[in-house]
Amino acid sequence: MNVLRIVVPSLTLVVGTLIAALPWGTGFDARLVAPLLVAAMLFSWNVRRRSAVPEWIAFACGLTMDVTGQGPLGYWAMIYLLAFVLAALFRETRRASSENGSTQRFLRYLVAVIALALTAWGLASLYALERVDVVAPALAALISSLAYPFVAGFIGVLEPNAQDDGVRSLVRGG
Amino acid sequence: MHDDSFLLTGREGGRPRFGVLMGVLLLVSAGLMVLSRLEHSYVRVLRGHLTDALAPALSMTAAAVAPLKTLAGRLGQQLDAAEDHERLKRELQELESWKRRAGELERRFGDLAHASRLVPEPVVPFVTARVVAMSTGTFTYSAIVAAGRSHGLKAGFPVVNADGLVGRIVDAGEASARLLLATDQASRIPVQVGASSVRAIMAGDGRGMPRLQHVGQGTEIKAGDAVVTSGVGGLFPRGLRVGEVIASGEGPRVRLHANTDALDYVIVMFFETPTLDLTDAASPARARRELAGKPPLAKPGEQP
Repeated sequence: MNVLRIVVPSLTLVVGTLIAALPWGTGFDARLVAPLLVAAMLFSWNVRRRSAVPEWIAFACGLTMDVTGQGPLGYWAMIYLLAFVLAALFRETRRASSENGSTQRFLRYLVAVIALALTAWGLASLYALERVDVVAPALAALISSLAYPFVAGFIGVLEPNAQDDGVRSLVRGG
Repeated sequence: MHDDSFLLTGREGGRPRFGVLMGVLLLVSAGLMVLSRLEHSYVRVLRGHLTDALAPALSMTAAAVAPLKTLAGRLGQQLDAAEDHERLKRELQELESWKRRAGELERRFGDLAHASRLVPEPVVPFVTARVVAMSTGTFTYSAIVAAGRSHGLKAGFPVVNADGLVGRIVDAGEASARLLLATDQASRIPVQVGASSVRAIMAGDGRGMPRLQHVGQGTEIKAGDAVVTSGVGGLFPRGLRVGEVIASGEGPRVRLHANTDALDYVIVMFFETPTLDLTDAASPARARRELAGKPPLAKPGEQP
């Protein structure tokens, strides 16, 4: 059903954002894991299907994370928008190379997660005007990478017959 | 025409409205970050409104996943059950002797209080609220509770849970409030340590265990000493249970009794800094009235 195809990805992201904001008692060093997992889910939806989650939903979820996480407004919003952009770029790469095996899919996911974690660290350092602790983003990247089978499996269960209709209609520039 | 930008069009061959929206959202995000860095008042207002708006959704989500958290907690308890059993047996034996001693001390204290006509301390009202969100960044160590001004909360109120002090309210919206945890870098709490009540400041530094600073000259504190609030400054009532001293290479730190990583429900105490309402000749209000040539205000039960 078309309505479900439109609603389900955004709904999973919104619910994921709210769940990530809850107190899970994961400890100080693991505080970035849940927000980065949501970013990884956003990337996974959009690399699978063009604009499965629209950019304004990504922005809204990032802003929600900023509000609930008591960080600077715009921090996670920017990282979630970057996840959106990375997904679009990797879709282009996939189209150009016509390679889409499970290894390629995992490598794309891995590169995206590392890039997002680095951005999270860089933005935090820029904001604080000092080099912030690297343990939290590194741990978040590690756990998010290990979570790939769960993220991919979860999305696969929700949308088993995804059609890559976006790939054919994707164009660059104006 | 193809170029190397990542701006995606909404339709094949259409104008890049997708790109414009993305650009706008990125600019808004960057602008919000700059305003946050400058601590602009608009950001604070916006955050307050958004937090209030999100509080019901967060409460519903917290209630929905509560069984899952309980299940995870029970699984953990089952794994530790045998070890806990032995530990609890030992602690029970120790507590039996403490119970007898506490009973005796309570009786003596009651006698002394009666003999010295001790004025009882006022009971501090409180509300219990659920923690619906925790900080998820590298910037602050705080939480959001699902109660706000409409429930009587104000900035500055101390927050505890069953184990001890958690922090204090720093922002109160209509239906939600921000709780600054004792481990946050901005947290400074006057405490007293050990049986000799050594005064110190417990300073958060963004890690799990706050530092003890400004320990009195010539005093000695040791690992295992109990830490409670001193009441100095009037922000916190005296005697709230905080934690215990642990030794570290960087000086003494405090292991909090409350697990600030796994907060569920917290108690917000309606404790306000005590102020003197002077009614004698030293009252500034009375002095001002006298200077203005007005008669003094009547005390309750007196005719002016």
